[in-house]
Amino acid sequence: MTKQKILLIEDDEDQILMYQTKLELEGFSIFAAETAEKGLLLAKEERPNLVLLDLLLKELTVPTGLEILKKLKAEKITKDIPVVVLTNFGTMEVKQESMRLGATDFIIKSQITPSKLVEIIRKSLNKK
Amino acid sequence: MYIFAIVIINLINFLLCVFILRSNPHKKINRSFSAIIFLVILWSISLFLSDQIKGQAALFWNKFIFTVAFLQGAFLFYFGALFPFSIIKIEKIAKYFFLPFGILLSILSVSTNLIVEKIEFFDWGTNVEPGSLYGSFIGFMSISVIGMLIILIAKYKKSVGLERFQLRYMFLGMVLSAIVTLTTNMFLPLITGNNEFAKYGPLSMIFLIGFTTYAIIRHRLMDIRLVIKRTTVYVSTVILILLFALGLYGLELKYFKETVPPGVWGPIVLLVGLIIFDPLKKVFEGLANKYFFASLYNYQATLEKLARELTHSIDLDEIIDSIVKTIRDTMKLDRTGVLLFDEQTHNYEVRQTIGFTVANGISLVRNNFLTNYLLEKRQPVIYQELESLQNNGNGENSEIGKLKTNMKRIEASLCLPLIIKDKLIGIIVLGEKISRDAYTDEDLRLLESLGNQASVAIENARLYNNMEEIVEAKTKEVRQKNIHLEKLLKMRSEFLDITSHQLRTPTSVLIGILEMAMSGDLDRLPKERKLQQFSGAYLKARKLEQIISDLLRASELDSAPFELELKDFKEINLEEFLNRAISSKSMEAEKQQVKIFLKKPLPLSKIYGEERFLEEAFGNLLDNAIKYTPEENKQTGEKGEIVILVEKKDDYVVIKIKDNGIGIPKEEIKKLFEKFSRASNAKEMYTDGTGLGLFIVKEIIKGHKGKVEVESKLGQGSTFSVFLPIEAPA
Repeated sequence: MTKQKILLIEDDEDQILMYQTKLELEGFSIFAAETAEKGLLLAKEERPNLVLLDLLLKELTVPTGLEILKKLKAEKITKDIPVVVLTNFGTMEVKQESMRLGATDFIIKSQITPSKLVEIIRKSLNKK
Repeated sequence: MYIFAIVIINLINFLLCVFILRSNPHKKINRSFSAIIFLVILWSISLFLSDQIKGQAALFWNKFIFTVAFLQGAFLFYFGALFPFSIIKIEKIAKYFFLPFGILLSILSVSTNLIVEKIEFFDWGTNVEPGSLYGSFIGFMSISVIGMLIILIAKYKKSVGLERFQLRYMFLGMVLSAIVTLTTNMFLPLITGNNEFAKYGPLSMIFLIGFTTYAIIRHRLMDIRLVIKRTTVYVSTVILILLFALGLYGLELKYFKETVPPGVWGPIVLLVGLIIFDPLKKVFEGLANKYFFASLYNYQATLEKLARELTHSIDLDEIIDSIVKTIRDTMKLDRTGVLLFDEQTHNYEVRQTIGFTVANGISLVRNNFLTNYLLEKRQPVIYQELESLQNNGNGENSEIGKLKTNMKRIEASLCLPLIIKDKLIGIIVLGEKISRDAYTDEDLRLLESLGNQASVAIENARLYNNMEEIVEAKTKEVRQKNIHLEKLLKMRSEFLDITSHQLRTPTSVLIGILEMAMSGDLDRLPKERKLQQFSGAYLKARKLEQIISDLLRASELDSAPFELELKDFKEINLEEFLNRAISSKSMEAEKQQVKIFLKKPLPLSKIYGEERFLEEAFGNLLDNAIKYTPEENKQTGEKGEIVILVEKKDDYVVIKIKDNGIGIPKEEIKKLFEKFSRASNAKEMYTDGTGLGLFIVKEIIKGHKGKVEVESKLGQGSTFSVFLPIEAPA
């Protein structure tokens, strides 16, 4: 069975390390992108099964993650890939916007544990 | 009857003579006219006596008549030269020719027989024989009187304003006197054949004297036309009623003699007369207003009209416009202007002028003599009257002179003050009437009323404008406050969003790592990897603490600035302190692969302050330096490093933290030390800043009586310099 590919768009090193560790232990194949550009590129090239997207990347105050989400859902290649928004920027406004833009789920990092994240990922993948 | 008339009239003449002399004993006009009046009295007396007395004394008195007459002629000419303004050449002719000549002739007439030779008495009357030089009498008198008339007429043509009035009055007096004299001395004798009336002739001089006296003494003359009008109306009314009464009497005599008892008809007529007097007078007044000098304005109507106009508007310009127009149109002036006091420039600024030449300096300075005078007197000031005030020899001569200069400078003939509550808010400046008449009493009363109304209207308009301005300013203030409030609220919500993000980031890592430890996931990792995870979590935990601490600090410093008391300043070993600071950040530095050095030797060994707080400050500065210095500088290719330098400058020790990191854009340096400000390029490297660090550093160093400065070059690095006083504050 091929490993499920997960694209993690996240800029915090420690976060990346943690999620990589856990998800690899759980049998996923992870690759990370620290910028929006890199993220979009990898999504197109690698065609992951799921994208984990952080909203606050290099621009403080503006959740650039939403832009990435929009683009992902606009491109033919990537529009069907489920995107789980995984962020610490938890305003209601942004949550609503993410769901409207087509995110599968909206998670606040500090509110879940790595195991829980794995569950959510599995659920999203199985939904397909 | 005749005696009675003579006595009364000469008494009046005498009174006028004294009156004129006393009102201004210094003026030549007054003195010469007094002389004339006196001579008229003498003339009257001598006429009387020459008529009554018989015998040798009669001759004397007849001669005396001519004596007086010669002097009169001379003085009349002299007076003509002086009144109302003097023509020097003619005055000299009068003084050096006419007067001496007249005196000579008068002496001749009284002491010789050259003028009057003898006198003969007949039944039918007296005959006076003229002497050989009688012709000189005719000649001299003609020349004097005609000369005087010519001069006066010439002056009238040239005259302006007040002088014009005075001459008019004099002419009126002359005309009246002439008419009466001609009547008594020519027409009546011709008609009745009786010479009796001739002796009343001289008494008619009272008209000339009376009117001229008035003209000399009074400063401000009622418009003659008004006088004529009023007199005519009154007399017409009286005559009409008299005729009416006479008519009724005639009726009574003819028809009612038997039926009505005597003594009853009289009161009845009187009653009727009284009742119809007033209405009749009003009728005549109406007629007079329409057909007789119709150009004279109706005082009341003007006021009412203006009052109505003024209440319609609160626009200052409109008000001034209508005031100026009303005055100009009603009084037919050549120049009108309004000056209003300007609060900002403290001058009386010109608001509107019509007819003034552009070049004149019509704007006055505040404490100008004229403005003070207007405020004090609260009455209009007329330029021409200042002249006579001056000539009356008041003590304020120089002040009057200054007033005149001021008024002349602004081409004002009349200045009307606008006063509200002891403040001169403005001046209405008027020129001459187009008819060149002077301002009359009525004019002034009208102007004063207009002035009062104008003052109130202007002040109201001003106040209203001020109110509008105040309201506008307040509204603007409120609007700005609202905008500010909105901004603050936005900032606050942004702050919460960001801060919660900052707090969550380390928390999520802690939770994650701990869960993985508990579930045994970490045990499945190679040792290196496991250690890596734990140290990552550890640093995140410290980071969390840092954020909480920053937030707390910033909040404290917000409410009260940090101040160190003198006793808190303790001695600190500089080298040890800096080394401790460096080692406290060693893990962070290592993680970033950045090296921190302290440049030795240090120029001094001690600093003063509160160590705990300085630790915080330097901790923050090092944090920043580490955060924003990459392992390798993209521009220069250098290895990332941070150097701490210590220098001495004036009374300060300067501790510099110099990095070769990403630097700070120039425009953003100013705002660096404000709360929540982060340079735009900071986001390139690190999104985890609270934006509070430098703010805290600034406050702590300020509390130590020092300061923080930064120099930076984008892409090449920054140097933060902390200045602390070398000596502890005493």
